[in-house]
Amino acid sequence: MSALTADAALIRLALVIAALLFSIGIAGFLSRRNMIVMFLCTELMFQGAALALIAFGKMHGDLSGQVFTIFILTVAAAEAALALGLVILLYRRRETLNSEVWSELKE
Amino acid sequence: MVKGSGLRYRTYAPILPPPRCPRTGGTVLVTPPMVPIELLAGGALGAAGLLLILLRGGHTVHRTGGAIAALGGLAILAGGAGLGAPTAGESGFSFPLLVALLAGVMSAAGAVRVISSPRPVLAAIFFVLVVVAGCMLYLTLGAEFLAFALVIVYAGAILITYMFVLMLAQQASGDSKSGAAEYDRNARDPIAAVFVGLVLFLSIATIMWKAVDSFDPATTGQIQRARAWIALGELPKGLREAVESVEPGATPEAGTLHVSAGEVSLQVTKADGSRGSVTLPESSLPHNTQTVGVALVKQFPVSLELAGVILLMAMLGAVVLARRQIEIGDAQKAELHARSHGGAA
Repeated sequence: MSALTADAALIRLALVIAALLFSIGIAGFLSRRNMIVMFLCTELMFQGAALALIAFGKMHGDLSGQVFTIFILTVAAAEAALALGLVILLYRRRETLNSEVWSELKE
Repeated sequence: MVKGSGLRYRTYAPILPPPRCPRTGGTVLVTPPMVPIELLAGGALGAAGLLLILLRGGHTVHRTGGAIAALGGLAILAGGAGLGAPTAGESGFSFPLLVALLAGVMSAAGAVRVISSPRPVLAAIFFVLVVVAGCMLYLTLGAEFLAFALVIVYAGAILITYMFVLMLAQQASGDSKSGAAEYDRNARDPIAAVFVGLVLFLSIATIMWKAVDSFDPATTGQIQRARAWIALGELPKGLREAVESVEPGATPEAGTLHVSAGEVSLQVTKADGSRGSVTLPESSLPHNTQTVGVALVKQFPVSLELAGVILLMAMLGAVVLARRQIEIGDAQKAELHARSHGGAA
């Protein structure tokens, strides 16, 4: 029986939290019907991915994880701008944020 | 299991029987994925609690669901922090681990509130809580630059954009008692959503859990230090200041930084013109912001440019999408038509 070092415990905790954030995010994306909150849930998933990258970067002593998180930040900002522009457009068409009014698109 | 990693976890609950070798009938050496018992129990409890919260059966159900989810979340976090496992080293339970546990509780609770809050504004505010907790975790993991960049970009910029859009698009709700619209109060398919979330969590977390088994703190620490010292070689000003602190008046010679296991030295030209070698002190080890900057510019220059292009495209796209389209009636159309023809004549 071997033991866990403090650093390994820290990294494992961070990775478990990252998985938790990602899966809560996807549960929210599937269960919420407000378009803005759905995009907020994708941001939650971005947070999980960024945390996992940083924890793995720490585990390998490599800075690529942190650099990649900077790119994730960029993509998240771009995604927020585009998604919210889209939400405003859709809101103007139907005067509601309910995503189910657009369910006719699936046919 | 990497040899010498010193990590093996006690309690694994197998979800599949061990595979048999087709020829000999014995157990093959490749072990199937095992879900750690903490993740399995905690995840099931957390999912059940989350389901009760999302079903919105009433005040008591909501409270019970919250309590169950909290219990499950605590089990997951305690398992992740290795609280039940034997710890190596002089202090098993360190201060960063305590901070990380607190941040984990904050971010998990905040995330649950983001997806369960009937008011979108509250969901956005709880997302800020998740971001702040994430920053605490980044600090414990030694990513100081990103911790503060995250607060500025997420809490400062992205969340404000969300708030603006919420205010633009928030409608007068029909039900004034709860103040939330019908589609915000009732979740869509909560059972399926929670099930997908649980399966995803168990699979991701199990793989990540096992990945830590190959972690070797001593070697990784040495690699990290060596990389930081090499990054110092890319920083002319930092190098000059480091040399100045040891040998006043000396100028470093480019490309002579030598990093060995014990010490870091480089060739310098001293104030009196003679050449020599200096050993750099521990205090001139570059900090996180410097090393991240060097890695960003030296290793990923093209990606950096592409990130700029993505931002520009997003800006243009958002402007095009959000532009108000003017509806023109038939009478106005005829008038415009007549006017343009009149101008041409």
